[in-house]
Amino acid sequence: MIRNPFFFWAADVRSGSMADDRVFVDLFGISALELLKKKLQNLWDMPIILLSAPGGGKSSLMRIFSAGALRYIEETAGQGGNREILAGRMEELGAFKDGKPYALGIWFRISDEYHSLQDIDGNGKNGFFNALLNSRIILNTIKAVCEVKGLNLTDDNDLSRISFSLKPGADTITISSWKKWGGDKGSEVFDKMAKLEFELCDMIDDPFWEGDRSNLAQGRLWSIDLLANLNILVDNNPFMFRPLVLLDDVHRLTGNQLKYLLNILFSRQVAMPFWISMRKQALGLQEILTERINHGIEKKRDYHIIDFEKDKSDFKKRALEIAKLRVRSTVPWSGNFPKDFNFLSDERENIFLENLNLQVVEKIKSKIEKAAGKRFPKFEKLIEKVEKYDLTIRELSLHLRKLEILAQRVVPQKNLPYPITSNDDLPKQDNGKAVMEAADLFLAKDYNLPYYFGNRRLIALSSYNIHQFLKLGGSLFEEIIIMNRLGKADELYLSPVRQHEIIKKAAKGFLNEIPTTMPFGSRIFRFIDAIGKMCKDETYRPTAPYAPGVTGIAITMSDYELLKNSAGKGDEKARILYQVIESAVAHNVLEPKANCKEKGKVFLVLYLNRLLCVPFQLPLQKGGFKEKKLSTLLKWVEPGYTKGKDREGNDLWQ
Amino acid sequence: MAIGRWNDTIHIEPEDFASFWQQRLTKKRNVLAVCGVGWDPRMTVLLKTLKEFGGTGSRQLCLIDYKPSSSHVGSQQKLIDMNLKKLDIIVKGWMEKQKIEIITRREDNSYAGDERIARKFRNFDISPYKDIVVDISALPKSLYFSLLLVLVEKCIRASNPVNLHVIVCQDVDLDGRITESIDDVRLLRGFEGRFKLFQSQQNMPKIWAPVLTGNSLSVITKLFEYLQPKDIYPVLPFPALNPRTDDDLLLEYHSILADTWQLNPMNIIYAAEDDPLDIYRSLVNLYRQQKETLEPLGGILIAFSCLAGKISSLGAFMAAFEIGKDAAVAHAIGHHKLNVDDVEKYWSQDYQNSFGRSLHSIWLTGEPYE
Repeated sequence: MIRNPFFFWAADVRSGSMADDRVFVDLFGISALELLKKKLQNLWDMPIILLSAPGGGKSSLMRIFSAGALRYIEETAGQGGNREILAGRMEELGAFKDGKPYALGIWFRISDEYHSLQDIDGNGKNGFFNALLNSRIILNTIKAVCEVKGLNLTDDNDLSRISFSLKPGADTITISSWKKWGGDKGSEVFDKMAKLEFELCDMIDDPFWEGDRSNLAQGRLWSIDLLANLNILVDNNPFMFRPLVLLDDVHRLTGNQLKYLLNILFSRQVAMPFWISMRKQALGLQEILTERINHGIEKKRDYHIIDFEKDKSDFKKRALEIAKLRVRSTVPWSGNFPKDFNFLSDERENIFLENLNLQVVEKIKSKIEKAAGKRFPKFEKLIEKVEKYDLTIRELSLHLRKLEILAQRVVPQKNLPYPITSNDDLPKQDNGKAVMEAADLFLAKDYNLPYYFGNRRLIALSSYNIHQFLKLGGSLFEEIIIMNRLGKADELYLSPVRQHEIIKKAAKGFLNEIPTTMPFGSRIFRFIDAIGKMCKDETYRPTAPYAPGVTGIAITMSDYELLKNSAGKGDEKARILYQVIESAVAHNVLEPKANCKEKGKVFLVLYLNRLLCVPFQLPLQKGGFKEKKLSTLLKWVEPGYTKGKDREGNDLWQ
Repeated sequence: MAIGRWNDTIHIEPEDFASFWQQRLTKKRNVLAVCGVGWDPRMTVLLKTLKEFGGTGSRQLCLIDYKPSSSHVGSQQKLIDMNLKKLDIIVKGWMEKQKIEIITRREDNSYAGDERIARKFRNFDISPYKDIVVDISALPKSLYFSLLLVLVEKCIRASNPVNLHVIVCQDVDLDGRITESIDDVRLLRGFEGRFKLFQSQQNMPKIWAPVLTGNSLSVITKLFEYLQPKDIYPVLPFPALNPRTDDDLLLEYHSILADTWQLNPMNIIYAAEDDPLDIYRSLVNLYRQQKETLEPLGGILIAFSCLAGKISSLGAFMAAFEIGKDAAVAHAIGHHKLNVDDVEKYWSQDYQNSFGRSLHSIWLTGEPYE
């Protein structure tokens, strides 16, 4: 049986065995490394922050540098193909040296047990936090050495083959800490750190714990200095490495702990590469918009940020590569899929031929006549001109629908607006591209045609989020798997109609999940519903004034400042709206664009996640937004948008 | 392992509830009732019923007032106020009331309710009481698991036996109308076991037994991603009030069970919907069998998640408590909401009487265990 490869989150595979690393590396899209290549100059001497909404691909990008993954890449590089390319990229990035892993990727995840340390009375809270993080950094370092050297972490004899010594450069706190907690042999250090970790976790979890706390706290995060000043020998041979701490899911720390950790990282005391990944929810809206994480700390001087939602240039390439790898991973089981199998059919014309015919053409023409009124003779000439071209029914309908929009625009005006002129050559002109796109959308709505289909729109619908792309791809690929199971090899594609239906269902599911899957979910749902309905109402105005459509709202930056300040001062209504926007942005439901200049004003634009355009039948292009007053948005968050009918009296929600 | 602590626990079902408590309260007893302050229309049902039963001895009420921040006023405050007004009428002149405030969120919005309730009750003096009655009807699971853990432990350690009873008002229809949002998932305090330890993360097999209910796909998905278990043993309700419930759940979760988890159908466990002891025994047996099988690999870790109603969750609580450090409880933290238009109908006399006939009592410590 084929398992749907799109529903498999590569970075979530349990680490610890070569089999898991193999699956992970095999599904890794190499083009994701381009995100790091852009930071190559500072990759190894400045903290790197990987930032995205859930599902952006942060963990995968970290895990590919883990010791286990690097070892697998080294072992399989000789096979050629992707493995060889990946090994080459690692060499370029400095993670490999002479074809072998040089970076010792110490990858582990932060979990929520650190929270409790925040509530401990007195000054010890940072001490326990240091101790727990130190123990885990060191335990994971030993694990990484074992992975690179092929040793068994659970075998004392193997651990004894590892030995440690401090370089002279270590600072005094590291030296004294190492005296207490370190040792010469790997097994000795491992036992001490495992015991420390156990006691700390027991202290956190057991409400009746009565041990001696003072023995557990540690004054500093000395393990970082240790790694920069540690000699490692395996079987008495020097183990050359470049330490790389990869701290995943740092957003799980409390706000104070995160601030404490970032202060250490940005203090320039960290003499080794340290990368962290976190979700945007860990930052405030202001920090997300400005990418300034702490006062006095400058991006590019003290740290680098890789924002997966902002760094969009390679997304299409990355997504298609991942899709290809996923489909290819099923070949051993399916046997039916060709090497470059594309299951998304784009047989658009056939569908349009079925739904559009000459009757439709006549219908549109009569609508143009009705809309243009006395000015129809001018439009008649244009219609004649369009009809002279050798166009398919679909192309003809599209151009006529465009004329209908332009005719609607003419009605209240004295002069014919641009672009209609007597010399206008409509089929060849491109200055009405936006209107043509609006016509495409209107046509789809008027005659129940598929709109959301094809690779290009699938990528757009993913809103630069890999998880979202995989979920959508998985929903579509599900039917291919069924066809394959039924032995229907000649039906291994999805028609545009079917794609449209599946995407509509997935989008509705995404919208309906909002109340239960994110903080302030119910309010965010109301907010999105109101935005969606307003956008739909504006988009489908007969004149298409914001062609191809409105897919976002905007407040002026001064209104945003007002909202932020009022929320900070404790104004309850402002606080609620601010939190709703903050959470929606952090979860990629709204995409912000700050300082957007338009018509002499500066705006914060909030675009809908592209998948959320689907339930409201909106186009996927960005650009069209509608300015709103704060007072309106405050109403939307509480009672919801009450304007439930469109201009034709139809229910706006479909 | 020895015979389970709660193999023969006394579960007083609704039809025997009145006679059991009426008889029990004929003797002079100092009773402490512990209740949550919430919007659930069942919040005051137990207190009203106990008052009607009368009896002698002191009557104390400990009200757990939980909210995300001290200034928080939720959208359901009107319902909470209705409950509090009703409660004041019931306890006036009958019970001494004390309030314990639990702020469930830190300033940065991270969850701390389970830790804070455990800390408060660790220092709570239970010595004056012969019977402690914990009504979990208006308490969320994220609070009462840790609360019960501390109270059970204290009652067991007490020099004089203290009877701890947990009361649940079970209404499957009402429970089905409550939706739960997820802000986060976590292991509840006191139930982390050895799950977070570095060594446990390496080679120890982790299994997960979620007690399933409907409309919880996003919770299940998040819990699965959080725990990343090696094997899954979903618990389905059978027998149940609606005998098709288990089939409906299999259909609802077909995609995740078959595709994402590739579940072996033999892994599915069936346990009675409103019988916590059946769930408790099933989960403890599962742990014992798996531990025995996987002992050569160093044993197992088992995590429970109870998505089903409160009565079922008690079975998961008892199993996790008994298994100890090898067990954990993973739970979604979020907000609960009653999705009904005419919500106030649940405060009508008819509904309140019906709730009064749906009370379960589970006796966890004290005389039967001497």
